[in-house]
Amino acid sequence: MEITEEKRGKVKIVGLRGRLDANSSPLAEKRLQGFIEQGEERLVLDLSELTYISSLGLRLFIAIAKNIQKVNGKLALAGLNDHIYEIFKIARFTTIFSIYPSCDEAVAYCAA
Amino acid sequence: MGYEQIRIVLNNELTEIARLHQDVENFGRKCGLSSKTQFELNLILEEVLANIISYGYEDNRRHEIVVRAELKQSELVIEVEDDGRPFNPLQTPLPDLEQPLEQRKVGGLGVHLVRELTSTVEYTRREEKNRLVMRKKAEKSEPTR
Repeated sequence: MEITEEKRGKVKIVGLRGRLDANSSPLAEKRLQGFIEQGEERLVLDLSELTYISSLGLRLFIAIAKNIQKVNGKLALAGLNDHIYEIFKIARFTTIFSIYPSCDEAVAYCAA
Repeated sequence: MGYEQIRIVLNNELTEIARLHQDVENFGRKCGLSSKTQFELNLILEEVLANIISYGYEDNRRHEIVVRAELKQSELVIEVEDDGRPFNPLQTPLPDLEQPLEQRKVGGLGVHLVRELTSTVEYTRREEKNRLVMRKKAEKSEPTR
């Protein structure tokens, strides 16, 4: 799993590349929590290069979303591939997350 | 589709899941599975294995978990056998998926995914072993032009 970061105005864009599985999820969660602890309140997770996710990866999104909510921040997900979007649908995550096709749209939502 | 099968023996360590994925991907390629079926097969096995490895054992000893998968016509038969404590995933309560974010619980999500992505799941406990047999319709990959 590779994690990239970029700042656009007030919005922090974090790219999760590769596989979010039982092995990589705990570390990825730590990194993301770290951003929130550093004061990032508007977070876009760019998933366009995420190739795989399991329930441990899904848990990470719940944990991050809850913490963003605590600081009255904004969280958006962008660029999910078809297979990952399908898993989000089965877990009924599509109703609780703001999901955008592109990173730019997700950034616009978080910046507003 | 031809007749293909695979047998993988894993230790009860989460790092083994990476090796499992590798072997399953090779198997999927040989069978000509679509990327969707391949993705879901990996996910099903990871969920089952992660549960066994994380919660199945009360001692710190090394245990072997045996995974078998075979393609019969257009159906995948996936079997997992472990010597952990009795655990029937068919008896775990389903998570409430209609709750808003604040009340969302994450426990049970893995088992929910397994049930949704398979057509049948059978559990048996015999000779101190858990045996889970799952069936799933296999989609072929589009032939490359």
